[in-house]
Amino acid sequence: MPTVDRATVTAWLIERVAFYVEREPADIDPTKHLAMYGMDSLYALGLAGDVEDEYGIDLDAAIVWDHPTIEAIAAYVATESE
Amino acid sequence: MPSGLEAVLGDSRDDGNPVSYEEIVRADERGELLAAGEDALTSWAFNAEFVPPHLGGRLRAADELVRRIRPVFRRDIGLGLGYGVTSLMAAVNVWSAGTQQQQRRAAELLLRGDRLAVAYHELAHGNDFSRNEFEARWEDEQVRLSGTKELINNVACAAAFVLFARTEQGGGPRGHSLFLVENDTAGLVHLPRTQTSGVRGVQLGGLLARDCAVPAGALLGDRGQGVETALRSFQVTRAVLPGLAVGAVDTALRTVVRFAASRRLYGATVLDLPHSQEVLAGAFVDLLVADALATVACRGLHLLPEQASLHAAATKYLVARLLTDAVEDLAVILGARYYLREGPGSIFGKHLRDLPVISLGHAGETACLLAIIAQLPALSRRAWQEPATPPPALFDPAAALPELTFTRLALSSAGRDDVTGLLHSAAEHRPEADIGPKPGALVVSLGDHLRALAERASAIPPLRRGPLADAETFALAENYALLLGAAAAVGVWRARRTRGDTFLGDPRWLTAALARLHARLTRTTAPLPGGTVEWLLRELVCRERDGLSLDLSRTPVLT
Ligand SMILES: Cc1cc2nc3c(=O)[nH]c(=O)nc-3n(C[C@H](O)[C@H](O)[C@H](O)COP(=O)(O)OP(=O)(O)OC[C@H]3O[C@@H](n4cnc5c(N)ncnc54)[C@H](O)[C@@H]3O)c2cc1C
Repeated sequence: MPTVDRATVTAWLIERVAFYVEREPADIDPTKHLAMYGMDSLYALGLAGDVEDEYGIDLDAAIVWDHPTIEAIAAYVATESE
Repeated sequence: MPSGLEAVLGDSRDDGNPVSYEEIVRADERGELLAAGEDALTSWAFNAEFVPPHLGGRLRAADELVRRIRPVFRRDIGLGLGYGVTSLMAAVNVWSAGTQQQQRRAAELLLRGDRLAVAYHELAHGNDFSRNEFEARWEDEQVRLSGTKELINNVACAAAFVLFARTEQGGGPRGHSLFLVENDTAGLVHLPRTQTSGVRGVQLGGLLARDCAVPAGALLGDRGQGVETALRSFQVTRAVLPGLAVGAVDTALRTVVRFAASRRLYGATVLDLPHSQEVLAGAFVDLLVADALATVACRGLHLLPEQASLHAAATKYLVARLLTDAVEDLAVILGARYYLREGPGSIFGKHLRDLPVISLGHAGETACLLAIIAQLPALSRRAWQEPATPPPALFDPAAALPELTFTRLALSSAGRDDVTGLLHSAAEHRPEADIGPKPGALVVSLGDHLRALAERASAIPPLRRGPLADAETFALAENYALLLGAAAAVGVWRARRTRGDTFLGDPRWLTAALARLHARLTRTTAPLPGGTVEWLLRELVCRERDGLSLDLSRTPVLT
């Protein structure tokens, strides 16, 4: 599996979150708790599915709950794909 | 000869039997669970059904559990919930997340005949339980509880309860934890009972804690794991409960068949009237579909645990819907009798009042559909386009199952669904020759609906993939449940045909089942396909006469 770069994942996640909460990517701060943007526990399911599609990593929604910021998820994805 | 719990509960139409319909309805009128019924269940060590074998009980396969305790639900949903299934809803959390010591404690309580309650619900937050406010704080090796829980079954009489409490200021998916709390904890106050319109014997109460101390060892699972454990445990109970409700509708349908056969109007019996025949046959088919889906969901917990979040939610929604609709249709045949609270029709009226609790309680219809909606977009990308081959054991209760492993129950199916795609594989294998022309055409059409669902699901606007879903999105989740029901029916029909079952292996019930699901899917009504009504009715009347259950298992009953 090719290693994915954390910055790329972060940028991609910002796009996804912006899509879900219908805001501009520029408005999304990767260090902020996702709940601040109205992403509740159900939306985490969708995001987990997106990550699986994009990076081929098994990601249960609970992992998104444990990594509640974009930065934390990106770090997780980068580590998992090594 | 009836065996197991059916024999213990005895002939429900014999007025000399302390657990007769008459006594059940009387106890309901008094707002009590029937004491003789509770005694009968105790004598059978009913609670052992909820305890895994390694802890001294008889809990094995989920679908087997359903069949073993369905006899009580044929007679009284209130007794089944009040005496028993509430304890199961609590216990699965302990089997799923508890320490060995907690598991032994829960098993000990259940096996000595005590009850467990399960306290999730707060009126202020309903199904939105990740916003619940009942709070637990750690302080000097202890946990201190403060808050109110409402509409909690058996909270006053249970020996212990599973409590869902907020353990982080902000709440959220990691902000709650579960606790196993002994009910005699000092300082706990029980609130007055709440009366209900159905299941009147069920003892709903509330719980008030004001800075009440419990040992830190009461924590069930890890801190912050409450929502996760609850969502896993719900998968089990969302699959089991609908299967149990099938029992009540068995009795409702049987009662109406008896009435229709004996009541003479216009020079014939009601059973001879074409409209009654159609309603009875339709209810019978829907009952079979409900049982097929419930069986698949229960066996899926063992065979496809990664997908159970999806299948159990769809089952809870659709089975409850099919059964409540069937009973409402049947009420029309019973006419004024269904409204009377005495006489032979009164057990029907009681089931009619009690059944809604299956869809209301423990994750309402809306909550189940929302659980599906969140998963639709991923499913549309990964599943539903290609034929699927589900494990054959999924549809065959005689096949052995692996043990239920709670840790394999995932929070989302992550875009996988190995059941519904059966509609495509059934359509591929020359359905006309395989199934017969009518069901063959229906299977092809249902497969087309599945592809259409995939297309529409991929276009759900992002904001509509959660609680802000609109009616159109809810309709997609409903359609999914209907297609899953159709796949379950096809699977069961195939498995039974392989085993040489002359009734369930016959394409006629399948044709009727698929036609009815198809009609719901297209929001139309259609008469049952030609030739199926008479055939279904003959089976129905025979089963009533011979004292056989009206579900998939066709087992001897005393109801
Ligand atoms: C007989 C009985 C026994 C019970 N026993 C227990 C028990 O032992 N333990 C326990 O913890 N609880 C128990 N409960 C409580 C039960 O679990 C809750 O009442 C139920 O799950 C929450 O349902 P609600 O209708 O109050 O839902 P709410 O979440 O308050 O929703 C109300 C209604 O709003 C609508 N709605 C909600 N969200 C949306 C949305 N996003 N979009 C559109 N519409 C929406 C739906 O139509 C829904 O029905 C019991 C209840 C009953 C009736």
